[in-house]
Amino acid sequence: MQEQIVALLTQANKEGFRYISGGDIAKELGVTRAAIWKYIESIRKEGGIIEAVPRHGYHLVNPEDLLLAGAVEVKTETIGTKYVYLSEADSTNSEAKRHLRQQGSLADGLVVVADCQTAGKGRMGRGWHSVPGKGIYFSVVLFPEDLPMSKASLLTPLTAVAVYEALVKVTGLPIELKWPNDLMLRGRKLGGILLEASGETDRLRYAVIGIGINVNLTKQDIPDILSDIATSIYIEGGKTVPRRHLLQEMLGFLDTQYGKFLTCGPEPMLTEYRRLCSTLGQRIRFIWRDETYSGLAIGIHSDGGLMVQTDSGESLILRSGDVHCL
Amino acid sequence: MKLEDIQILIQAVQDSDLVELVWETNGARLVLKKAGACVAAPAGGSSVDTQATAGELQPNQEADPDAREGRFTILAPMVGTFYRAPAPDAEPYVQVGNIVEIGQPLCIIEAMKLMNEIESEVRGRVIEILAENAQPVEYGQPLFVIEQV
Repeated sequence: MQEQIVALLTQANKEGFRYISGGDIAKELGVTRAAIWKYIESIRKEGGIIEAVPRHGYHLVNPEDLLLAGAVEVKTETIGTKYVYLSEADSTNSEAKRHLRQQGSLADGLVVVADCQTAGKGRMGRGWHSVPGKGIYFSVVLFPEDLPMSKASLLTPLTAVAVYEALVKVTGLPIELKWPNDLMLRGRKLGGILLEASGETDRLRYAVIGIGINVNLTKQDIPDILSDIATSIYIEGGKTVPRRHLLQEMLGFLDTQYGKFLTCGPEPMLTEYRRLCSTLGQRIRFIWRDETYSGLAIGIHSDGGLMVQTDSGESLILRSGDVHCL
Repeated sequence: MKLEDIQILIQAVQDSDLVELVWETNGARLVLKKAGACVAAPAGGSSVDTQATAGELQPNQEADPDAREGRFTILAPMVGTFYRAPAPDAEPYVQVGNIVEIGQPLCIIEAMKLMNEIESEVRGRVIEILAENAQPVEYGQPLFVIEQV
Protein backbone atom coordinates (compact mmCIF):
# COMPACT_ATOMS: atom_id res chain seq x y z
CA MET A 1 0.00 0.00 0.00
CA GLN A 2 2.76 2.41 0.95
CA GLU A 3 4.49 1.61 -2.32
CA GLN A 4 1.35 2.48 -4.27
CA ILE A 5 0.96 5.78 -2.42
CA VAL A 6 4.59 6.70 -3.11
CA ALA A 7 4.00 5.81 -6.77
CA LEU A 8 0.90 8.06 -6.93
CA LEU A 9 2.68 10.97 -5.26
CA THR A 10 5.69 10.54 -7.55
CA GLN A 11 3.45 10.39 -10.60
CA ALA A 12 1.56 13.53 -9.50
CA ASN A 13 4.86 15.33 -9.06
CA LYS A 14 6.09 14.24 -12.47
CA GLU A 15 2.93 15.35 -14.24
CA GLY A 16 3.30 18.82 -12.78
CA PHE A 17 0.32 18.59 -10.43
CA ARG A 18 1.49 20.02 -7.19
CA TYR A 19 -1.07 18.37 -4.93
CA ILE A 20 -3.06 15.19 -4.80
CA SER A 21 -5.86 15.03 -2.26
CA GLY A 22 -6.17 12.39 0.43
CA GLY A 23 -9.68 11.71 -0.88
CA ASP A 24 -8.40 10.98 -4.38
CA ILE A 25 -5.69 8.66 -3.10
CA ALA A 26 -8.21 6.89 -0.85
CA LYS A 27 -10.65 6.43 -3.76
CA GLU A 28 -7.93 5.22 -6.10
CA LEU A 29 -6.63 2.64 -3.65
CA GLY A 30 -9.92 1.74 -1.97
CA VAL A 31 -8.96 2.59 1.59
CA THR A 32 -9.97 5.22 4.15
CA ARG A 33 -8.46 8.70 4.36
CA ALA A 34 -7.30 7.87 7.87
CA ALA A 35 -5.32 4.94 6.53
CA ILE A 36 -3.76 7.20 3.91
CA TRP A 37 -2.70 9.63 6.62
CA LYS A 38 -0.99 6.80 8.50
CA TYR A 39 0.99 5.80 5.41
CA ILE A 40 1.93 9.41 4.70
CA GLU A 41 3.42 9.55 8.19
CA SER A 42 5.48 6.42 7.61
CA ILE A 43 6.72 7.69 4.23
CA ARG A 44 7.84 10.85 6.03
CA LYS A 45 9.71 8.73 8.58
CA GLU A 46 11.56 7.05 5.74
CA GLY A 47 12.81 10.28 4.26
CA GLY A 48 9.93 11.46 2.09
CA ILE A 49 9.29 15.20 2.44
CA ILE A 50 5.52 15.59 2.03
CA GLU A 51 3.68 18.89 2.26
CA ALA A 52 0.06 18.69 3.30
CA VAL A 53 -2.13 21.71 2.53
CA PRO A 54 -5.77 21.85 3.66
CA ARG A 55 -8.24 21.59 0.75
CA HIS A 56 -5.41 20.83 -1.69
CA GLY A 57 -3.85 17.63 -0.48
CA TYR A 58 -0.41 16.14 -0.43
CA HIS A 59 2.70 17.04 -2.37
CA LEU A 60 5.90 15.01 -2.44
CA VAL A 61 8.73 17.52 -2.48
CA ASN A 62 11.73 15.24 -3.05
CA PRO A 63 10.81 12.35 -5.33
CA GLU A 64 14.13 12.65 -7.15
CA ASP A 65 16.03 11.81 -4.02
CA LEU A 66 13.76 9.11 -2.68
CA LEU A 67 14.77 5.47 -3.01
CA LEU A 68 11.51 4.07 -1.59
CA ALA A 69 9.75 1.31 -3.43
CA GLY A 70 7.21 3.04 -5.65
CA ALA A 71 9.42 6.06 -6.24
CA VAL A 72 12.05 4.10 -8.11
CA GLU A 73 10.84 3.10 -11.53
CA VAL A 74 12.00 -0.34 -12.46
CA LYS A 75 11.92 -0.90 -16.20
CA THR A 76 14.22 -3.88 -16.19
CA GLU A 77 13.88 -7.51 -17.25
CA THR A 78 15.47 -9.08 -14.19
CA ILE A 79 17.31 -6.79 -11.82
CA GLY A 80 15.01 -4.93 -9.46
CA THR A 81 11.86 -6.83 -10.38
CA LYS A 82 11.70 -7.58 -6.67
CA TYR A 83 12.62 -4.46 -4.72
CA VAL A 84 13.05 -4.04 -0.98
CA TYR A 85 13.71 -0.66 0.64
CA LEU A 86 14.90 -0.16 4.20
CA SER A 87 15.53 3.17 5.88
CA GLU A 88 18.35 1.45 7.73
CA ALA A 89 20.20 -1.86 7.43
CA ASP A 90 23.37 -3.24 8.97
CA SER A 91 24.57 -3.88 5.45
CA THR A 92 22.50 -4.47 2.34
CA ASN A 93 24.55 -7.59 1.54
CA SER A 94 23.77 -9.10 4.96
CA GLU A 95 20.12 -8.13 4.55
CA ALA A 96 19.98 -9.71 1.09
CA LYS A 97 21.51 -12.91 2.44
CA ARG A 98 18.94 -12.99 5.25
CA HIS A 99 16.21 -12.77 2.62
CA LEU A 100 17.80 -15.73 0.86
CA ARG A 101 17.84 -17.79 4.03
CA GLN A 102 14.27 -16.95 4.97
CA GLN A 103 12.69 -17.41 1.58
CA GLY A 104 14.92 -20.09 0.13
CA SER A 105 15.40 -19.88 -3.56
CA LEU A 106 14.21 -16.61 -4.98
CA ALA A 107 13.90 -15.41 -8.51
CA ASP A 108 16.89 -13.70 -10.09
CA GLY A 109 17.26 -10.01 -9.48
CA LEU A 110 16.15 -9.16 -5.93
CA VAL A 111 17.37 -5.65 -5.06
CA VAL A 112 17.79 -4.52 -1.45
CA VAL A 113 18.25 -0.77 -0.96
CA ALA A 114 19.03 1.00 2.29
CA ASP A 115 19.02 4.73 2.95
CA CYS A 116 21.78 4.10 5.46
CA GLN A 117 23.97 1.22 6.55
CA THR A 118 25.02 0.94 10.19
CA ALA A 119 27.68 -1.70 9.45
CA GLY A 120 28.48 -1.27 5.77
CA LYS A 121 30.87 -3.92 4.57
CA GLY A 122 34.10 -3.65 2.68
CA ARG A 123 36.34 -6.51 1.74
CA MET A 124 37.73 -8.88 4.40
CA GLY A 125 35.93 -7.36 7.34
CA ARG A 126 36.75 -3.77 6.43
CA GLY A 127 33.97 -1.23 6.84
CA TRP A 128 32.20 1.02 4.37
CA HIS A 129 31.25 4.48 5.62
CA SER A 130 27.58 5.29 4.96
CA VAL A 131 25.74 8.61 5.33
CA PRO A 132 21.91 8.67 5.56
CA GLY A 133 20.16 10.36 2.65
CA LYS A 134 23.37 11.10 0.76
CA GLY A 135 24.66 7.84 -0.62
CA ILE A 136 23.24 4.91 -2.50
CA TYR A 137 23.71 1.54 -0.86
CA PHE A 138 22.20 -1.49 -2.47
CA SER A 139 22.64 -5.17 -3.18
CA VAL A 140 21.55 -7.32 -6.08
CA VAL A 141 20.96 -11.05 -5.71
CA LEU A 142 21.62 -13.21 -8.75
CA PHE A 143 21.08 -16.89 -9.46
CA PRO A 144 22.85 -17.32 -12.76
CA GLU A 145 21.90 -20.80 -13.94
CA ASP A 146 24.69 -23.14 -14.96
CA LEU A 147 27.45 -20.69 -14.16
CA PRO A 148 30.46 -22.65 -12.88
CA MET A 149 32.21 -21.10 -9.94
CA SER A 150 35.36 -20.62 -11.99
CA LYS A 151 33.41 -18.11 -14.09
CA ALA A 152 31.62 -16.37 -11.22
CA SER A 153 34.36 -13.79 -10.89
CA LEU A 154 33.29 -12.39 -14.28
CA LEU A 155 30.44 -10.76 -12.35
CA THR A 156 33.08 -8.35 -11.02
CA PRO A 157 33.98 -6.68 -14.35
CA LEU A 158 30.31 -6.93 -15.36
CA THR A 159 29.23 -4.90 -12.33
CA ALA A 160 32.08 -2.45 -12.74
CA VAL A 161 31.17 -1.75 -16.38
CA ALA A 162 27.47 -1.25 -15.58
CA VAL A 163 28.07 1.08 -12.64
CA TYR A 164 30.69 3.02 -14.62
CA GLU A 165 28.26 3.51 -17.51
CA ALA A 166 25.52 4.75 -15.19
CA LEU A 167 27.83 7.13 -13.32
CA VAL A 168 29.23 8.65 -16.50
CA LYS A 169 25.77 9.01 -18.05
CA VAL A 170 24.32 10.76 -15.00
CA THR A 171 27.29 12.87 -13.90
CA GLY A 172 29.42 13.39 -17.01
CA LEU A 173 32.47 13.35 -14.73
CA PRO A 174 35.83 11.82 -15.74
CA ILE A 175 35.35 8.63 -13.77
CA GLU A 176 38.07 6.02 -13.84
CA LEU A 177 37.62 2.30 -13.60
CA LYS A 178 40.57 0.78 -11.80
CA TRP A 179 41.12 -2.97 -12.02
CA PRO A 180 39.24 -4.90 -10.93
CA ASN A 181 36.29 -2.86 -9.68
CA ASP A 182 37.23 0.45 -8.09
CA LEU A 183 35.38 3.54 -9.27
CA MET A 184 37.68 6.51 -8.91
CA LEU A 185 37.50 10.23 -9.43
CA ARG A 186 40.77 12.15 -9.53
CA GLY A 187 42.54 9.37 -7.68
CA ARG A 188 39.99 8.99 -4.90
CA LYS A 189 37.40 6.32 -4.39
CA LEU A 190 33.86 7.23 -5.38
CA GLY A 191 32.24 3.90 -4.92
CA GLY A 192 32.85 0.36 -3.88
CA ILE A 193 31.64 -2.98 -5.07
CA LEU A 194 31.69 -6.07 -2.87
CA LEU A 195 30.66 -9.39 -4.30
CA GLU A 196 29.82 -12.40 -2.21
CA ALA A 197 28.96 -15.77 -3.60
CA SER A 198 28.40 -19.23 -2.34
CA GLY A 199 28.30 -22.70 -3.75
CA GLU A 200 29.82 -26.10 -4.01
CA THR A 201 32.83 -26.84 -6.17
CA ASP A 202 31.27 -26.41 -9.55
CA ARG A 203 27.89 -24.94 -8.97
CA LEU A 204 27.38 -21.33 -8.02
CA ARG A 205 24.36 -21.19 -5.74
CA TYR A 206 23.97 -17.45 -5.64
CA ALA A 207 25.88 -14.21 -5.92
CA VAL A 208 25.19 -11.04 -3.95
CA ILE A 209 26.57 -7.86 -5.45
CA GLY A 210 26.86 -4.97 -3.00
CA ILE A 211 27.30 -1.48 -4.37
CA GLY A 212 27.95 1.69 -2.41
CA ILE A 213 28.23 5.08 -4.12
CA ASN A 214 29.20 8.34 -2.44
CA VAL A 215 26.64 10.57 -4.13
CA ASN A 216 25.87 13.81 -2.32
CA LEU A 217 28.30 13.59 0.58
CA THR A 218 30.04 16.83 1.49
CA LYS A 219 33.66 17.07 2.62
CA GLN A 220 32.37 17.17 6.21
CA ASP A 221 30.54 13.87 5.68
CA ILE A 222 33.78 12.05 4.96
CA PRO A 223 35.78 11.18 8.08
CA ASP A 224 39.28 12.71 8.20
CA ILE A 225 40.87 9.31 8.11
CA LEU A 226 39.28 8.64 4.70
CA SER A 227 39.68 12.11 3.18
CA ASP A 228 42.74 11.16 1.14
CA ILE A 229 41.17 8.07 -0.34
CA ALA A 230 37.43 8.80 -0.60
CA THR A 231 35.41 11.42 -2.43
CA SER A 232 31.85 11.95 -3.72
CA ILE A 233 30.06 13.05 -6.87
CA TYR A 234 29.02 16.25 -5.09
CA ILE A 235 32.56 17.08 -3.94
CA GLU A 236 34.03 16.55 -7.41
CA GLY A 237 31.17 17.81 -9.56
CA GLY A 238 30.00 20.70 -7.40
CA LYS A 239 26.31 19.85 -7.54
CA THR A 240 23.98 17.31 -6.06
CA VAL A 241 22.75 14.41 -8.14
CA PRO A 242 19.22 12.98 -7.77
CA ARG A 243 19.78 9.61 -6.15
CA ARG A 244 16.67 8.03 -7.60
CA HIS A 245 17.79 8.82 -11.13
CA LEU A 246 21.26 7.38 -10.55
CA LEU A 247 19.90 4.22 -8.92
CA GLN A 248 17.49 3.66 -11.82
CA GLU A 249 20.34 4.03 -14.29
CA MET A 250 22.54 1.60 -12.35
CA LEU A 251 19.75 -0.99 -12.22
CA GLY A 252 19.14 -0.46 -15.94
CA PHE A 253 22.78 -0.88 -16.98
CA LEU A 254 23.23 -3.87 -14.67
CA ASP A 255 20.16 -5.48 -16.19
CA THR A 256 21.40 -4.91 -19.74
CA GLN A 257 24.89 -6.22 -19.00
CA TYR A 258 23.58 -9.24 -17.12
CA GLY A 259 21.12 -10.12 -19.88
CA LYS A 260 23.88 -9.84 -22.48
CA PHE A 261 26.18 -11.96 -20.32
CA LEU A 262 23.60 -14.75 -20.04
CA THR A 263 22.76 -14.82 -23.73
CA CYS A 264 26.06 -13.91 -25.44
CA GLY A 265 28.69 -14.89 -22.87
CA PRO A 266 31.32 -12.60 -21.36
CA GLU A 267 33.14 -11.36 -24.47
CA PRO A 268 31.04 -8.27 -25.33
CA MET A 269 31.27 -7.15 -21.70
CA LEU A 270 35.01 -7.86 -21.55
CA THR A 271 35.59 -5.85 -24.73
CA GLU A 272 33.92 -2.91 -23.04
CA TYR A 273 35.81 -3.51 -19.82
CA ARG A 274 39.13 -3.48 -21.68
CA ARG A 275 38.19 -0.17 -23.28
CA LEU A 276 37.22 1.42 -19.96
CA CYS A 277 39.78 0.01 -17.54
CA SER A 278 42.21 2.81 -16.77
CA THR A 279 44.77 0.43 -15.25
CA LEU A 280 45.66 -0.96 -18.68
CA GLY A 281 48.89 0.43 -20.07
CA GLN A 282 49.93 1.73 -16.65
CA ARG A 283 52.90 0.82 -14.56
CA ILE A 284 51.70 -0.89 -11.39
CA ARG A 285 52.96 -2.30 -8.14
CA PHE A 286 51.42 -5.33 -6.52
CA ILE A 287 52.03 -7.96 -3.89
CA TRP A 288 52.27 -11.58 -4.94
CA ARG A 289 52.95 -14.32 -2.41
CA ASP A 290 54.17 -11.79 0.15
CA GLU A 291 56.61 -10.14 -2.27
CA THR A 292 56.27 -6.78 -3.96
CA TYR A 293 56.60 -6.59 -7.74
CA SER A 294 56.29 -3.85 -10.28
CA GLY A 295 55.45 -4.11 -13.93
CA LEU A 296 53.24 -3.04 -16.79
CA ALA A 297 49.52 -3.87 -16.97
CA ILE A 298 49.15 -5.12 -20.52
CA GLY A 299 45.86 -6.90 -20.84
CA ILE A 300 42.66 -8.35 -19.42
CA HIS A 301 42.41 -12.13 -19.56
CA SER A 302 39.23 -13.86 -20.67
CA ASP A 303 38.40 -14.49 -17.00
CA GLY A 304 38.89 -10.84 -16.06
CA GLY A 305 42.40 -11.32 -14.61
CA LEU A 306 44.95 -8.58 -15.13
CA MET A 307 47.84 -9.58 -17.39
CA VAL A 308 51.09 -8.11 -16.19
CA GLN A 309 54.57 -7.95 -17.64
CA THR A 310 56.84 -7.72 -14.62
CA ASP A 311 60.02 -5.68 -14.65
CA SER A 312 61.99 -8.92 -14.52
CA GLY A 313 60.42 -9.98 -17.80
CA GLU A 314 57.88 -12.48 -16.57
CA SER A 315 54.29 -12.42 -17.72
CA LEU A 316 51.63 -13.40 -15.21
CA ILE A 317 47.95 -12.96 -14.54
CA LEU A 318 46.66 -11.36 -11.35
CA ARG A 319 43.33 -12.53 -10.05
CA SER A 320 43.29 -11.17 -6.55
CA GLY A 321 44.85 -8.58 -4.32
CA ASP A 322 45.23 -4.86 -4.87
CA VAL A 323 47.26 -3.08 -7.48
CA HIS A 324 48.72 0.39 -7.09
CA CYS A 325 49.27 2.57 -10.11
CA LEU A 326 52.74 4.12 -10.15
CA MET B 1 56.17 -1.89 -29.81
CA LYS B 2 52.66 -0.81 -28.97
CA LEU B 3 50.42 -2.18 -26.24
CA GLU B 4 48.04 -3.57 -28.86
CA ASP B 5 50.89 -5.51 -30.46
CA ILE B 6 51.72 -7.09 -27.11
CA GLN B 7 48.09 -7.98 -26.53
CA ILE B 8 47.91 -9.62 -29.97
CA LEU B 9 51.06 -11.60 -29.21
CA ILE B 10 49.68 -12.74 -25.86
CA GLN B 11 46.50 -13.94 -27.51
CA ALA B 12 48.52 -15.73 -30.19
CA VAL B 13 50.62 -17.53 -27.56
CA GLN B 14 47.52 -18.38 -25.61
CA ASP B 15 45.81 -19.92 -28.63
CA SER B 16 48.87 -21.93 -29.59
CA ASP B 17 50.74 -24.85 -28.10
CA LEU B 18 53.73 -22.62 -27.48
CA VAL B 19 55.07 -22.58 -23.97
CA GLU B 20 57.30 -19.58 -24.36
CA LEU B 21 57.85 -16.83 -26.88
CA VAL B 22 60.87 -14.54 -26.97
CA TRP B 23 60.55 -11.50 -29.21
CA GLU B 24 63.43 -9.15 -29.85
CA THR B 25 63.11 -6.01 -31.86
CA ASN B 26 65.04 -2.72 -31.92
CA GLY B 27 66.78 -3.56 -28.72
CA ALA B 28 63.58 -4.33 -26.83
CA ARG B 29 63.05 -7.85 -25.57
CA LEU B 30 59.72 -9.37 -24.68
CA VAL B 31 59.38 -12.77 -23.05
CA LEU B 32 55.96 -14.39 -22.87
CA LYS B 33 55.58 -17.59 -20.92
CA LYS B 34 52.33 -19.42 -20.76
CA ALA B 35 50.84 -19.60 -17.29
CA GLY B 36 51.07 -23.14 -15.97
CA ALA B 37 53.92 -24.07 -18.23
CA CYS B 38 56.89 -25.58 -16.50
CA VAL B 39 59.51 -22.92 -16.87
CA ALA B 40 62.90 -22.76 -15.29
CA ALA B 41 63.31 -20.04 -12.69
CA PRO B 42 64.71 -17.00 -14.45
CA ALA B 43 68.31 -16.04 -13.85
CA GLY B 44 68.60 -13.36 -11.22
CA GLY B 45 66.45 -15.20 -8.76
CA SER B 46 63.04 -13.70 -9.43
CA SER B 47 60.50 -16.24 -8.33
CA VAL B 48 57.24 -15.16 -9.85
CA ASP B 49 55.14 -18.27 -9.67
CA THR B 50 53.46 -18.78 -12.99
CA GLN B 51 52.06 -22.07 -11.72
CA ALA B 52 49.64 -20.25 -9.52
CA THR B 53 47.93 -18.68 -12.50
CA ALA B 54 47.41 -21.99 -14.18
CA GLY B 55 43.66 -22.21 -13.58
CA GLU B 56 42.30 -23.02 -16.98
CA LEU B 57 45.13 -25.26 -18.00
CA GLN B 58 44.58 -27.74 -15.21
CA PRO B 59 42.44 -30.77 -15.96
CA ASN B 60 38.94 -30.38 -14.66
CA GLN B 61 38.84 -32.31 -11.41
CA GLU B 62 35.85 -33.10 -9.32
CA ALA B 63 35.84 -33.73 -5.60
CA ASP B 64 37.29 -37.18 -5.46
CA PRO B 65 35.59 -39.68 -3.18
CA ASP B 66 37.95 -42.42 -2.13
CA ALA B 67 35.54 -45.23 -1.38
CA ARG B 68 38.11 -47.37 0.40
CA GLU B 69 38.93 -44.81 3.04
CA GLY B 70 35.66 -42.88 2.98
CA ARG B 71 37.60 -39.68 2.50
CA PHE B 72 36.73 -36.70 0.37
CA THR B 73 39.16 -34.14 -0.85
CA ILE B 74 37.63 -30.72 -1.41
CA LEU B 75 39.35 -29.05 -4.35
CA ALA B 76 39.59 -25.37 -5.18
CA PRO B 77 36.83 -24.63 -7.73
CA MET B 78 38.64 -21.54 -8.96
CA VAL B 79 41.91 -19.66 -8.95
CA GLY B 80 42.15 -17.13 -6.16
CA THR B 81 43.29 -16.35 -2.64
CA PHE B 82 42.35 -18.81 0.09
CA TYR B 83 40.97 -17.49 3.38
CA ARG B 84 40.06 -19.65 6.34
CA ALA B 85 37.98 -16.96 8.06
CA PRO B 86 35.44 -14.36 6.89
CA ALA B 87 37.60 -11.52 8.29
CA PRO B 88 41.18 -11.23 9.55
CA ASP B 89 40.07 -11.07 13.19
CA ALA B 90 37.33 -13.67 12.90
CA GLU B 91 37.41 -17.32 13.90
CA PRO B 92 38.25 -19.76 11.09
CA TYR B 93 35.25 -21.43 9.49
CA VAL B 94 36.60 -24.86 10.43
CA GLN B 95 39.47 -26.46 12.34
CA VAL B 96 40.99 -29.90 12.02
CA GLY B 97 38.78 -32.29 13.98
CA ASN B 98 35.54 -30.36 13.43
CA ILE B 99 32.49 -32.15 12.12
CA VAL B 100 31.03 -30.33 9.10
CA GLU B 101 27.59 -30.67 7.58
CA ILE B 102 26.67 -30.63 3.90
CA GLY B 103 26.42 -27.01 2.83
CA GLN B 104 28.50 -25.69 5.72
CA PRO B 105 31.05 -23.04 4.65
CA LEU B 106 34.64 -24.27 4.82
CA CYS B 107 36.59 -21.27 3.53
CA ILE B 108 36.54 -18.30 1.22
CA ILE B 109 38.35 -18.07 -2.07
CA GLU B 110 38.68 -14.53 -3.32
CA ALA B 111 39.11 -13.81 -7.00
CA MET B 112 38.52 -10.43 -8.61
CA LYS B 113 37.07 -9.10 -5.33
CA LEU B 114 34.41 -11.78 -5.39
CA MET B 115 34.36 -13.53 -2.02
CA ASN B 116 33.33 -17.09 -2.71
CA GLU B 117 32.19 -19.15 0.22
CA ILE B 118 33.04 -22.77 -0.48
CA GLU B 119 30.58 -25.19 1.07
CA SER B 120 31.19 -28.76 2.08
CA GLU B 121 29.68 -31.33 -0.21
CA VAL B 122 29.83 -34.04 2.41
CA ARG B 123 29.15 -34.55 6.09
CA GLY B 124 32.23 -35.58 7.97
CA ARG B 125 35.25 -34.76 10.07
CA VAL B 126 37.93 -32.39 8.85
CA ILE B 127 41.12 -34.48 8.78
CA GLU B 128 43.48 -32.09 7.04
CA ILE B 129 43.61 -28.49 5.90
CA LEU B 130 46.03 -28.37 3.00
CA ALA B 131 46.12 -24.70 1.98
CA GLU B 132 47.57 -21.80 3.89
CA ASN B 133 45.51 -18.80 4.91
CA ALA B 134 45.78 -15.72 2.64
CA GLN B 135 47.82 -17.57 0.01
CA PRO B 136 46.96 -18.09 -3.65
CA VAL B 137 45.44 -21.40 -4.66
CA GLU B 138 45.18 -22.98 -8.08
CA TYR B 139 42.18 -24.45 -9.81
CA GLY B 140 41.83 -28.04 -8.63
CA GLN B 141 44.25 -27.67 -5.72
CA PRO B 142 43.29 -29.87 -2.75
CA LEU B 143 42.07 -27.72 0.16
CA PHE B 144 40.50 -30.01 2.74
CA VAL B 145 40.38 -33.71 3.45
CA ILE B 146 37.13 -34.76 5.06
CA GLU B 147 36.47 -38.19 6.47
CA GLN B 148 32.85 -39.20 6.20
CA VAL B 149 31.18 -40.10 9.49
